[in-house]
Amino acid sequence: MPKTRKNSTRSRKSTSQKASRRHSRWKSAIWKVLLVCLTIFLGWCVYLDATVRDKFDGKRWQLPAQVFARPLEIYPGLALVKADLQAELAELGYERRTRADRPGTFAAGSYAVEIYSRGFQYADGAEKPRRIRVEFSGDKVSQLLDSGGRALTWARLEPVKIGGIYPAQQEDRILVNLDQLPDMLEKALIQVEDRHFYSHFGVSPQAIARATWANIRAGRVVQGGSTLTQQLVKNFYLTNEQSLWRKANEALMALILEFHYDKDEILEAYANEIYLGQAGARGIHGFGMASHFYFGKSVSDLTSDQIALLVAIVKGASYYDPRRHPERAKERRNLVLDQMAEANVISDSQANADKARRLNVIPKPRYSSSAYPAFMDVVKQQLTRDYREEDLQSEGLRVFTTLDPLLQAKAEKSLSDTIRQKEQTAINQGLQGAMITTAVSSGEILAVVGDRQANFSGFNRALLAKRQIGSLIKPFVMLTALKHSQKYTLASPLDDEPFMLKFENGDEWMPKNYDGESHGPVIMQEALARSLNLATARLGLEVGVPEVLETIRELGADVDVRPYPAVLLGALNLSPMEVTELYQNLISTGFRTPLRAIRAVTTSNGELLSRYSFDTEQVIDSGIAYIGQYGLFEVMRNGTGRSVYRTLPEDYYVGGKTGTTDDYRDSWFVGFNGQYLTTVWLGKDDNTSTSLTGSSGALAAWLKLYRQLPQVSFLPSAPESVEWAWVDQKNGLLSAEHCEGAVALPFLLDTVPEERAGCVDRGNILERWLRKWWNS
Amino acid sequence: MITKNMKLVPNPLVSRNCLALAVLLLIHGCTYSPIQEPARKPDPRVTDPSDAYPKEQPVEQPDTKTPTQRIGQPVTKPVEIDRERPSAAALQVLAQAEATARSGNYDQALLLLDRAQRISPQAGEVYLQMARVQYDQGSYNRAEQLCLKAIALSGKDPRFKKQSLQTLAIVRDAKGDSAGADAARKQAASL
Repeated sequence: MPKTRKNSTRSRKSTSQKASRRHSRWKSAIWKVLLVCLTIFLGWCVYLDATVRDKFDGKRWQLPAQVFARPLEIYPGLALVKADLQAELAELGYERRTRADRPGTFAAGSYAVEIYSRGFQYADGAEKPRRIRVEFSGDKVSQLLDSGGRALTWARLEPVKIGGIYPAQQEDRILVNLDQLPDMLEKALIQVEDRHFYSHFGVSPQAIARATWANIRAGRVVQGGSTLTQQLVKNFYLTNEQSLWRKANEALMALILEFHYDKDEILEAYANEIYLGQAGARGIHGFGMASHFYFGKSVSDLTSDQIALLVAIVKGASYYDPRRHPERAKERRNLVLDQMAEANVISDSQANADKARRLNVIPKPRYSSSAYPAFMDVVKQQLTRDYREEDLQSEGLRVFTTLDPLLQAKAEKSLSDTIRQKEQTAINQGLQGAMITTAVSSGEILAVVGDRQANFSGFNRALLAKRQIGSLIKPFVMLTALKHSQKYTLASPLDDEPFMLKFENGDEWMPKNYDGESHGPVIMQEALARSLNLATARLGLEVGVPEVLETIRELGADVDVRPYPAVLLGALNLSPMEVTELYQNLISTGFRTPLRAIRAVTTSNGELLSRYSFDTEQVIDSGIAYIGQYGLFEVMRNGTGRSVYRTLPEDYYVGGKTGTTDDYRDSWFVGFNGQYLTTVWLGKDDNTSTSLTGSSGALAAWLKLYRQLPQVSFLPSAPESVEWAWVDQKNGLLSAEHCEGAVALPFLLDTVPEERAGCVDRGNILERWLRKWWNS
Repeated sequence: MITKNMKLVPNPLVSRNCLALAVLLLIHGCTYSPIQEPARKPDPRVTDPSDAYPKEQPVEQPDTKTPTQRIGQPVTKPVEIDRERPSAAALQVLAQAEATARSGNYDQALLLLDRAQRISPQAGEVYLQMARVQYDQGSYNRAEQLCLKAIALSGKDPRFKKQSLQTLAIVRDAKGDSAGADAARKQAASL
């Protein structure tokens, strides 16, 4: 027994030892597991810590480049009508009031507009808000005054934002510092979203408990317990996935964030990160951008009701979208106003007054839906020469362009109205078009339309549609001839008779006139005005096709074609933009000026990076160029463009040239006044026929536009090397003012025709003497 | 390029006194054709196109039809313009640009000069000042071209032309074109 007992004792001992060993093994296993877990947890924390700090310390956001139109510059004498100024103010989101009493407001009387401009960081420096008064007389600015009634010589309005260059994830934001954020907005946000923001450490157990209790009682999720820090973490680092794992990470990262950064930094990041709306494919993030998106003004100019609306939207930008669900948004805004009053952010009476106000949200700004796609293409083309794509998408650059939104709107309407009108003829169904307007003196591109539906971002015909230019080439053939000044003048007789050219390979070329007829001898001036093919082709062959192409290259078109004779009649494919550049240089009295769509680029802080200033180079003698461009007046006075003078006054000097290609596939017109040059192309994308010539199609669109523009004549002063003489319109012989059929033409000195027409010497001697005396 | 309310050099046929016109008409009788007179409105201000002109009419397709009627009046020498001077606004910007350039901030100066150009695009002073800033920056080729542009806009103002030619001579000297500089100087001296 004892043995047994002994055995039994031993056995008990060994059982207890085994249990103890098992226990300690378990214990140690648990410890080990815990240790492993802790290690993993700590590792995870280290990983999260690195993630949090990496993004927060580094570049937090990719900031799209902001692209601006030209600022409207106002000065006495400027051709501007009151309606256009008001249209510009509307585009800028200015509020019309009885007095312009704060930035972003204006008041309009019958002949004056008072404006309180907003401050703006221009490419040439910052400007503070200022009050100005613009007075009109007719369609001009007659006077410009400051708030004290003193005369000003010049002022400007901040430019309209026309677009951005966006990164792949399509987030649009304008960064604001905490000190730029209105104090009221900061307080309202904290009051509504996270009352204990300044006292918690990233998560708020109190808020979580309260939310959990509310959710249990409601049986569904009705309240969130997230702090602003957690919301920031969710938006900044995590996805929208609803899971415990995500929640846990969110809480951990919020703690880490609070450990490393102070409250102000976190709040500033939140104010710039928060999602507040949607513009097409792009998300609107942060109060800086949202303020422009909903109210067309900068965040510092917001009123209390507007602040309340933005804070209201934080809860759900789509659900409380004030444009799509105004009632819902208003209800929530009023709730926010109540909470603001409760926290003494605003007074009760202010809250009540604000609650009675409408939402006053502006229509979706045009830039938000890429409203100027054709112009933006030109801007991007110019930018990519000097900037890397990733910098444009992420550095928040400010791009100051030359676009004139008022002119652009008029151009778009003129083109689309003309197309709609022309489409009433069956053969013109599916008609498309493009239009470009530039400033004659500076080469700035002011408007670009690349589609009949201007805001359609597809094939940009203004840049990409390379079409035959037809008779648009004729002025360049003439100009090439005029360079041989001892041989050719505008009065040189040309033979508008049929001919045939036989090539070595047996091919034949037999050009014809538009009307199928020939017109015998005509002077060069008339051949251009009436766009005669036979006379032009003969002249072009005399001077040589390669030389004509050289003139075209000198004037800015990079043409690479073989010098076939058909080129002389416009068998040369150019885009409307290339045509614009050619004509811009043709009418610049021999000076070539590159077209520009950008004036300057600055950093997001306003530091100047690039300046694209006026540049010019003389490529053709001024006298010859002056005579060449003079021919374009006659096209409008007596040639293919003359129908415009049924509408325009006779003492308004405009120039231009029509172009039509075979089977009416292309209808071109390039026309200009003293301020603007405009190219219009109409045709079909599949290159089939229309019923339109240059004058019945494109010219009609041009005229629609120019009837709305200030009537500024094109009257360049004649170079000293040019003199005027009267010649017989039929044969180009020297004539006199009193002779029938005499026309005055410009000539280079010593190139006036010497042979006299019969009438010249028949004048009364006394009359001639009197005239001489009179003109002296 | 001028707006219609700028000062135009009057056409002598319209501005001379009636007596001379009467004598002429008397001598020439009814054969004097009014077609040779450029039509001028008594008030040459820019007119609002929306209310002053008849409604747009259908555009014909006239590519080569003989003009039967001179719709836009016959070709006669266009109204001559005096050299355009910078407007008050442009003058202020030019002064600002000069001060900015003097302080060595050429980029800002050129931005200002672009602004002056938008205000008074035909004023030679704008281009001459651009030329000077480009010269200061050492961009002699650009400066030379801008001088040429200023000269092209000098109209019948020998003083301004001389000034532009003198600047051109300095620019050409700087770029090593002494023959060109001499030619410019010679031309300036002849004025």
